[in-house]
Amino acid sequence: MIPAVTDACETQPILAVSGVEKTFTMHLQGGQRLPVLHELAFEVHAGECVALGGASGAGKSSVLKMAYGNYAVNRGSIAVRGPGGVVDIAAAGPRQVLAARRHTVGYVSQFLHCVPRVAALQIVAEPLLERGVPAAEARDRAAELLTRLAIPERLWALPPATFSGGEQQRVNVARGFVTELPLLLLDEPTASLDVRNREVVTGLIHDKRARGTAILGIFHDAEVREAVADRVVQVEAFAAATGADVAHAAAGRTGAAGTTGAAA
Amino acid sequence: MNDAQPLLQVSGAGHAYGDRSASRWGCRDVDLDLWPGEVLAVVGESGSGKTTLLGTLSQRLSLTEGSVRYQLADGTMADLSELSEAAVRRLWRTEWGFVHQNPADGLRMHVSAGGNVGEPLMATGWRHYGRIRAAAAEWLQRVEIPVDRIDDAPVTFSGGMRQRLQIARNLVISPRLVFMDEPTSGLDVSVQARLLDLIRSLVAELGLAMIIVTHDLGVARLISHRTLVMKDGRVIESGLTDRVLDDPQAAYTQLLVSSILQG
Amino acid sequence: MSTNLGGYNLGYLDEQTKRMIRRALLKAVAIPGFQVPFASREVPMPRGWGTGGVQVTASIIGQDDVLKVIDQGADDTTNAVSIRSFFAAVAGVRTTTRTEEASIIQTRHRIPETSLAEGQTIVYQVPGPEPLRFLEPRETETRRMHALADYGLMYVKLYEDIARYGHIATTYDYPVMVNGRYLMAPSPIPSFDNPKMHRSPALQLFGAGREKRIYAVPPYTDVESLGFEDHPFEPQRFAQPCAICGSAGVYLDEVITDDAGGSMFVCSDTDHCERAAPDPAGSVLTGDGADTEVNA
Repeated sequence: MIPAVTDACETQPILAVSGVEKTFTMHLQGGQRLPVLHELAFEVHAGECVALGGASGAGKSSVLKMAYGNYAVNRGSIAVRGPGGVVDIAAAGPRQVLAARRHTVGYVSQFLHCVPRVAALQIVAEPLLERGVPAAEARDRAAELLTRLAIPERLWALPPATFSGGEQQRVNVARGFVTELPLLLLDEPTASLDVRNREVVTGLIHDKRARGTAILGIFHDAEVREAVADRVVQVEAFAAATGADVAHAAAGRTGAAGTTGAAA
Repeated sequence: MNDAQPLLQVSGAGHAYGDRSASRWGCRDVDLDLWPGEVLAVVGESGSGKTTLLGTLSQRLSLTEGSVRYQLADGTMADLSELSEAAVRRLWRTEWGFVHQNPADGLRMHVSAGGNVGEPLMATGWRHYGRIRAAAAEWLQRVEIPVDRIDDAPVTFSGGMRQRLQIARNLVISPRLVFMDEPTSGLDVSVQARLLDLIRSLVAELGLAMIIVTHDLGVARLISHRTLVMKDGRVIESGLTDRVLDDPQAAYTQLLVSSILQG
Repeated sequence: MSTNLGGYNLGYLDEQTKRMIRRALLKAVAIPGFQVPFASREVPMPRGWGTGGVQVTASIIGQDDVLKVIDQGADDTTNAVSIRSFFAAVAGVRTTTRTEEASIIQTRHRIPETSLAEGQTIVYQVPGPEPLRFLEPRETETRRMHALADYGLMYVKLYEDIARYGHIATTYDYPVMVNGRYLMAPSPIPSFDNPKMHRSPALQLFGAGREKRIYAVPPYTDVESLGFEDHPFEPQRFAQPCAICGSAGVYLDEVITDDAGGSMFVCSDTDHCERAAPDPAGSVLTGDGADTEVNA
């Protein structure tokens, strides 16, 4: 399912972003338009880890969200190569995007979106269960990851809504890493973690890369970035002329700091 | 089961109240496709036309314009307005469900819980009391109603329990398509969460297709794959639920999303 | 048109009315168990006293008929006597209390113990023709249920009985499925009598005067009492025989004999009891069942 890695440069890219433009239109503020990205282009190959660099507000999270189909794309293409072929996420209909999320693209968001009342172990096992993995095996793999991420066993049966920020983030990481997908998008996976757990996540990313997963991520921590990224794509190099601030744009559209939550 | 065709195919659907000359359009020009295993949320405020749309799709209101086609169990696409009343009633008995906002509208309030859940089975020919009762008990468990209440009538149940009973009654025949009209409004917040969680897991487990009308965007986010946003009888935005709620394109959608009370 | 009794037509009803009722009867016979609406007329008794049965009898009775009228199985109650003498007067027919001698038997709430034969017609008085009424009050809805054979609700009622009492609690007017198609209310006959309806050689006609419905079961039609596979229909059984005639396997009435609450169980079917009794002269019941006009 995941293409074998010989020489990353010689295989087709898992993710190919080309000519992407993103402009936010803030109707709540008189229809003000904020162009953020212009002619964004880069590639990620199997086994590669590409980091998105740039200051806050440059649009790094937006790039990840567009690649996941969570944000709309004004122009350009985001081609994702999966077991069924290449899908242009920018142009795909909802069902195709859902299929891509199922078979090709994984996402670890910055914040854990807590489905109420579901136990942590179940949350981590769910992506496997949805793909037809037998329940016992799914739970074993979930347990393995939770152990590696130092979530004590006594918490596995509890819903994460009551966990600390760091614990929630680790459950989030476990959920994102439990499946084997060709492309993984990581939005600040180590943000609320201590040194020890940052190292664990770094190790997990290395393992994925070794297995041929293509990774695109935002790593605020320089040390982690150094350890995992093969190269950095500076998002500011593709800034639109007005250099708008994405956080401002988000607030202008949704009235909030734009959390991401994908329905199961 | 024909995978190339959607389960429900709606084109240019509209319903007008009153006669054509002096009418008011409840909903107009609605296009949507629904596939098995998909949950579609229709959101909007009062007067948006979402409830009218649900009524029109579920054949409770006549279709003034457009067409609604449904894939029957044998794979053929049937135009619902051409089906006889008997055929439509048979669909309701065997393939469709409708969960009302007020559970009293969808239950027999003075018939026992077991009788309420057993009735759809009896209507499709089940004639063994023991098996009917066992199936009803199993479903009560699945919707987390204590099985020892199987002989109690829903007049003695709380609102949340009545709603869960209504869901059990609708799902006991393993429908392919379920319509839900604001199933959680009027319930306490904690009860809502529990109910939505239940709906979510049942949809995943049974591979149901569902159309759920709600004014609550949080409900849409939690259980739907796709969302239709309606205003003044028309669809003004549609797409993946998380895309519509996180990156709303239309002005009205942005307004709706920004109005969510932040906890 | 002959006139009896000071201006009334034969059989009391005018000929056009008889035709209207006969048309309804034909439809009813053609669709066994289906309730046919009819324009119920005024007859000299109030609604609730058998006006439906009287109208059906009046429409089919001819001067060669022999009429028996029973009320809860008895020929000698006030109402049975009144109706019998009414028809004797307006139709000039012979009347009888002997089941096998009658060509028409009008009955309130019982089927005679003596088996009916081909050529006999039994006319039932029906208070409530709609078996689903107490579960579904809307006429529009019950009509649709019959049209679409949507009878799950009736089984809900039986389910509720079993859940509440451990057994089906309906003991009279027990719902039946006629000819495998229509759900029918057999009138408040005891469930004990239901098996007699199944493939009866006689023509069974049902008249509801107040509710304005006529229905019918032609001879040799399947009439099946509803039940579940694991709780099938069970007719009532009586532990003891009739105290007067000693018959077993017949429907018994409990008769209070003294102020201390003493009682005895006797045949509900008076005709049957008289003839089976070991000593007719010592019979508690009056009337000799002779085939002459009975004085009221």
